[in-house]
Amino acid sequence: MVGDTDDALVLQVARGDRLAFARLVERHGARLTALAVRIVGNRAVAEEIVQETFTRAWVAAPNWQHKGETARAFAAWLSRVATNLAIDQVRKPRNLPIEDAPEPVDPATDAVDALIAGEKLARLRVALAGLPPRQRAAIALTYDQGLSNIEGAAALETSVGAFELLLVRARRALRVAMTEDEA
Amino acid sequence: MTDEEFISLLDEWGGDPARWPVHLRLDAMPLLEHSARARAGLKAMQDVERLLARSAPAPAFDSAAIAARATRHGQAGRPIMSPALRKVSFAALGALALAAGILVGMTPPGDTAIIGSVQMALNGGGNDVQ
Repeated sequence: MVGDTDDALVLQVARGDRLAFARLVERHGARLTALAVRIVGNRAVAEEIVQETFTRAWVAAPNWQHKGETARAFAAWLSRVATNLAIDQVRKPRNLPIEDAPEPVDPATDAVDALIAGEKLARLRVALAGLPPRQRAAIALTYDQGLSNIEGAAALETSVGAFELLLVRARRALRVAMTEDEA
Repeated sequence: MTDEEFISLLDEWGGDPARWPVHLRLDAMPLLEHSARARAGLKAMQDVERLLARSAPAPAFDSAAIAARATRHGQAGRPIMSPALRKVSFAALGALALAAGILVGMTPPGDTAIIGSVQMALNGGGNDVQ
């Protein structure tokens, strides 16, 4: 349905349509929250970041057409704003600790498998928390958001080559952490 | 292919060899048969990616509250006039300036009071006319 596309809704938001804005928030909010949670490691802070992202979207909407930006880029714009806000948050000196998120239900068939899987997951969380914020963002954009390297680079406002380098370094750190787990 | 080269491919392309470029995959696969280090590296990367998928955050999200707060907090930052109204305003301002210019051109040299008042109006009050 044409009227329900991001493009169409963004045009309505630019005219001050709150219902259209609410639909965009509903469409993109959970995705952005997941992205922010992965980068900052704290749900409350992530929700603040998403709130700020959408507040900026509401304020900026009337200017998109004047700047010649295409409404099609709305999702990418949101990802870029949320990612930058999350990275800024992580870089602040006073930073909330990575919270203990509830363990997901483990599909392992017995208790020993579940214990090992839980331990590996804990290792991964520690390794993720130890990554520089831009590397963590690259992991979140690639594995959680499913973005291509081109899209991820745009979200991080960097070149594709630089984004790929962030991914390589992040993968290496996580792989080494899991390899040490085996040792 | 050496173990180090294989590990570099893991870091560059991830733990699913099916996503690697074909020529790299063909070079790498034989190494897995006789290198324990390559197998351990592959398993570690696959563990990372499997756990990343399992631990992807899926937070509850109150979209209505977020939207309401965004429009409320953002209201002060939004322009008062719509883009269409702004276009009309600029057009009106242009017409006013044109009319003032014509008025100035048609006014006899002695009627400086009218010219001054028009200039003051266009300059926003006349504090800085001279």
